[in-house]
Amino acid sequence: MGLTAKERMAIERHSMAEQPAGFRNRNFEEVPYGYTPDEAVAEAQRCLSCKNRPCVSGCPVEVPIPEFIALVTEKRFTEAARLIKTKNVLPAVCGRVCPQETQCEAVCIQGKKDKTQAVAIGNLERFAADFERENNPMEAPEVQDKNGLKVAIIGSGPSGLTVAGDLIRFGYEVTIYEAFHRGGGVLVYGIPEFRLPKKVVETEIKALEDTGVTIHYNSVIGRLYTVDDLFKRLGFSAVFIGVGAGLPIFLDIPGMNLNGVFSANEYLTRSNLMKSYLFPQYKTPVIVGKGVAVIGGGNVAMDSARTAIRLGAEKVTIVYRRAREQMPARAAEVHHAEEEGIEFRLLSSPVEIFRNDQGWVTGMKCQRYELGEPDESGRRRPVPIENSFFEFDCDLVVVSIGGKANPLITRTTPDMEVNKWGYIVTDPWGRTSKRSVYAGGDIVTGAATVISSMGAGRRAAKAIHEDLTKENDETFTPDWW
Amino acid sequence: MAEVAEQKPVAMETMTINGKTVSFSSGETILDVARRSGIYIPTVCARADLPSTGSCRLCIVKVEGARGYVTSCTTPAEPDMVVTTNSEEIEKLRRGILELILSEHPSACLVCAIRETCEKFNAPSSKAGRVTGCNMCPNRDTCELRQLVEYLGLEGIRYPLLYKGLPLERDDPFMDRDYNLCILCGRCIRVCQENLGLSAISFIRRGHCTKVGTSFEKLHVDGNCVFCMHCVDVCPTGALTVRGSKWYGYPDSEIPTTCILCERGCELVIDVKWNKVMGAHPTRDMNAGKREYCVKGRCCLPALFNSPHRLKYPAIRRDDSTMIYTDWGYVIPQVSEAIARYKPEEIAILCSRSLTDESIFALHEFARVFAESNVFYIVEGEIVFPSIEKSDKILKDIKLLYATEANSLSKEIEEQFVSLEDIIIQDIYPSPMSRSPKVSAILPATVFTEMDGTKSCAGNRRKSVTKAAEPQGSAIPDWEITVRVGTALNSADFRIKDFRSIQNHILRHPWVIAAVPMAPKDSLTYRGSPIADFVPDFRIFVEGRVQSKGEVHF
Amino acid sequence: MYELVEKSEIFNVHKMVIKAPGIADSMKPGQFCIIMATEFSERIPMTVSDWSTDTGTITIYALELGISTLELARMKVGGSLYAVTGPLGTPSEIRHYGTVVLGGGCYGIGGIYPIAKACKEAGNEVISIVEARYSPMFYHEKELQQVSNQVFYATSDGSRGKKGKVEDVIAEMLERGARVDQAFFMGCTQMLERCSEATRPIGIPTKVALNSIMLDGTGMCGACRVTVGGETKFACVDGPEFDGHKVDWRELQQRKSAYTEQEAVVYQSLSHECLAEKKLRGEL
Repeated sequence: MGLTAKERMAIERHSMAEQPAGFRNRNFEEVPYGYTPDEAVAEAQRCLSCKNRPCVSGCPVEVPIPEFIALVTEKRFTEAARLIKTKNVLPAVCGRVCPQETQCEAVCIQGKKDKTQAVAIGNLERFAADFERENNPMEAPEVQDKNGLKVAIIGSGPSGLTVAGDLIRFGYEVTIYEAFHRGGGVLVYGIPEFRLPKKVVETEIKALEDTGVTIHYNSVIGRLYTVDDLFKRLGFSAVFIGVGAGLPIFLDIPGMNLNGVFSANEYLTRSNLMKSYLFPQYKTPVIVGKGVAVIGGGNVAMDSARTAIRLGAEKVTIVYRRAREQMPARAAEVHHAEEEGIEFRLLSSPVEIFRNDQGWVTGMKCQRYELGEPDESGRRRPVPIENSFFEFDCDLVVVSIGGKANPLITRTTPDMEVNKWGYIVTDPWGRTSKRSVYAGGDIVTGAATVISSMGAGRRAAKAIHEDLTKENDETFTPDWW
Repeated sequence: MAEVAEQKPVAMETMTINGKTVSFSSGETILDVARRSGIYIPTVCARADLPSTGSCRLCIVKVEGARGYVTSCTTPAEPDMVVTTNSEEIEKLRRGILELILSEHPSACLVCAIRETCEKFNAPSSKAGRVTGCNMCPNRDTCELRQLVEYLGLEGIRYPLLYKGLPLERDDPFMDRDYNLCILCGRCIRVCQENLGLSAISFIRRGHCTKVGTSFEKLHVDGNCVFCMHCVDVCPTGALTVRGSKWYGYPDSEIPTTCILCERGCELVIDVKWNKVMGAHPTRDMNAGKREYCVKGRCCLPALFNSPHRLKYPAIRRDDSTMIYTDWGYVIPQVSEAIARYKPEEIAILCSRSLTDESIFALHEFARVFAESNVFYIVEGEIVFPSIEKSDKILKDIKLLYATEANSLSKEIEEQFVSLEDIIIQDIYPSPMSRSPKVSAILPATVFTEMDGTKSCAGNRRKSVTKAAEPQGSAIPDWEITVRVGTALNSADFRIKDFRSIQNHILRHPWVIAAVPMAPKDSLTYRGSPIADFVPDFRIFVEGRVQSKGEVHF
Repeated sequence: MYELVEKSEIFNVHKMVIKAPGIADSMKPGQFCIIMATEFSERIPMTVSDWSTDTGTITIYALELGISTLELARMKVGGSLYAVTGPLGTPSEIRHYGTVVLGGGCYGIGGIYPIAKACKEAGNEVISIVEARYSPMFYHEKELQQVSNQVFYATSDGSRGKKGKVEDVIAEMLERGARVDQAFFMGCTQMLERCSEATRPIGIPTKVALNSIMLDGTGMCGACRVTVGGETKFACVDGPEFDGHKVDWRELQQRKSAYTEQEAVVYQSLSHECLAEKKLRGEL
């Protein structure tokens, strides 16, 4: 408790114990074990409780970081978790999958000299949330009296859950439409079990349902109902679209439709949502490659590669066009993948996928690249080197080079503006060009992080609340239409 | 002279078939004689290894002097008989008979114009519940009716299909029955009743409603059936099938081997596809006259050996006490170091009875050199030292246990080793023991379909075991693990170095293998692991049988 | 939940009437649903053959052809399906064509019904052609007759209508000089290919409903991609109907057989919900 700033500065950052790389690459259990209470308290003591709270401004949903860490030092773990939850409905999720090193921890004073010595805010958040989940019955947050207004949310991913969590507290009747048979969006179909145990997500969704949020599973908006149906037939006052990016992109090279070529979306959905790593107990099959090539350098590529090795692949190779420094994946994920024995073929891009008579992948031909001048994104542009081809054997290819906007909703909502890539155009508060329709997350920004989607959800919830409140006040005209 | 050299059967008389003089012994039927003489007579109900009933009538032949045609499978050969098996007239009659048989068997595919492309397109038949044609039938590639259609050149069926509309019988373990495909040849009944003496099934109901079934139409599992599947193996159609292994189409290869789940050592052919064991069936020269195999070898192997729970990678405990998976190159020196830390009298080896002779011998040789020949077995939950007198006192000295059958290690047995410090497991499945902090290494071994070798079976027969499928993960045969660890321990006394040298030593030291206890034929485990844990249908069968009869036999 | 309110079997074709009010309200001809029998099941696409907004039910005809459809076949009236998602896919383009030929085999016999009905309502001359192995294997017959000007039958053994397949009936029609303005086909991949070849020489516009392997059914995974006219399309959102003369059939067939191995392996350790097991558990 009564430590001086100097004493606090002197404590080394506590790393979480984790499954050894040589063991975890053969199982689907979570990699880090999480802090013990003692470790958590010791780590929490490193927080200097700075007055200007740079970490809070680094957080897209403005979690009161110093305050919850202070509660952890006092071993008031459950209270810490509940404090986080006033701003972040999914702390157990964010503690695990947020890129803290570029957000809250990036601006931490403890990490000023040495970035790796920032207070482990993410680990503490995870600890507090896990502690609360495991030791307490879920506590329903305070809910205001029902105001009689219905809001529909399309998609139960991070942004949708955030909007639901906020609006239910403001007294709205909230209904989520989820296309899959399970809620959580990318948290259940995309992020693997070993990074985010599905029971964590399930508990969060259960908690939300307990507060009164209705979730209609197996409901594909755009097909089952259009957005207009939601207003006219079902009487909603506002609609929030948080459906994620959606369509996978494939490369324009020969062999993309061979057996054994998957989009990362498909490969991960099979393994995560459909639990095909438990085949044949779960009946959805997945191909266990011997040699697996994953094309791409993002977090999804890392997840795919690490899933492949856990499913039993002998060799997994990541093929990426640029160099390591340009990889969009979190450094920690790249490091984990490397530890688990995944090979990297950088500055290489496939030009052809080979096949056998039965239409299965047998190998890949790649071209080497070098880094040229920076492009508009500021990253150095990869330039192919002439006649620098090489080939290697593989029987499974996972394409993880991003996605496009899913047009299911935008096509059936012609009076809503989309940009040239098909993403929905909104104001900073998530208001679309269509009255009472809001959007947030990847369908607005393209592929981004869980927490930025949650931030968008939080802002949209605010906007919905504000607009609907003012709408009932006839004298008020919102400035945005 | 040549005639002298030709061995003549004793007490033989002669008859003429298709103008050829052939000899026969009394008691033989015309069909027997013809078969022995290489003359083909089509049949669906008769089999050389089953008593004949003459029910299908396809085997009709013309006997000079006899009125009409006789069924060759039931007509005894007589001296100077003149038989014609083949003529325009007979073929025509046979075609008529086959047409009648097929009129009660869904066979439109046989006369379908696109049959060939369809079957090529649908290489493995679709996994239909109710089979409505050949392209959906799991028996497509071995169907005797299809062979007869080819042989007799049948081009069309003049009668409309009389589909019986019987419910599918899928409520028993292991076996699916669709009597809508049944042609009432009665082979299954004969093999069960007369050859195996089980009488689990017979013809029930009457007239047009006749079908094969159990008495009172109970489930098979409630009757006498032991699911040995001999009925499936003699069925000429797809009416009787083994549910778990009927949908893989043509196997990539068929490997004859010996089932070593128990002492009987039945000869089986393993169907291999995608480098996996997909099914097991009797050898071509199967004699349905005797029990050649049981449900364990016939039906359980694929689920048992393809189980996702198999141990696949070597694992070792690190200094920080966590287990990690590793490779053989790392684990072998670690294991040999662990062994070298103990005195020979402090080491004991639990040898599994289910190993091949080579693997057992290797363990014995290893024990002789490094463990004072402390080899023991677990037989019915008791520790058994076979070759030497070992007392409880010795058990008390044991500090390192090398277990090749960890699932047999009950708590009670473990407690007998009072000073146990270290356990090394070499096995195929995980066991409750694998989680014990005393375990320092886990070595994945192969199952018997993944290795070559021999196995001594009951009746002093040594049978060969042949590799059929690829090992799971990086598992290797038990003998190879032992040889590698032994070699790493670097003792001049350790004489075996490869498969051949083990086999040579077995020949020179036959008493080692002779002293090994055998797994009894009614055993419910493989290498100490309950088969029922991996094969749900086996659990249903065993528990059901124990409930109704108090015991289970195979 | 999605209650099963009616079930019957005709030669391995399981008619299932499922309570799914929202879906029944929004369903259009040519669309499908993705179904999971249990929590452990695969998600499999199923063409919807009929629906009623009055009773809030949809009707599917499921052929038992593997583990997932085995689970459906096992279901009893009163039981519930774990998940039914739909409607999915782009609806059939229904307008006044003139004479429309609809060919159906397997599940397509039921599958063409809603398209036939809509075509009839749009003022077309509707000719339905259905194929099966034997005459008793036809189903959904009366309904189809009601919405067709003519129904032709083709059987493998000649026990009803023409001995042969749908394409043989078409060939005969064309020989007689019949005019066809649009063709729709639904059935197994092989039948779709054969029928498309039959209409190709005289250039009859031909739509085929493809049945590729799907996962989510919303375009998110790309499992169902097919090559049509050299372009990659997603059967779940761009289809399921495509121009039959432009489909890469070989690729489609290969992609459909991607899981043959797993499909066979899953039967090995199948925990069969059999009577024997229920007895053991004391449920009988």
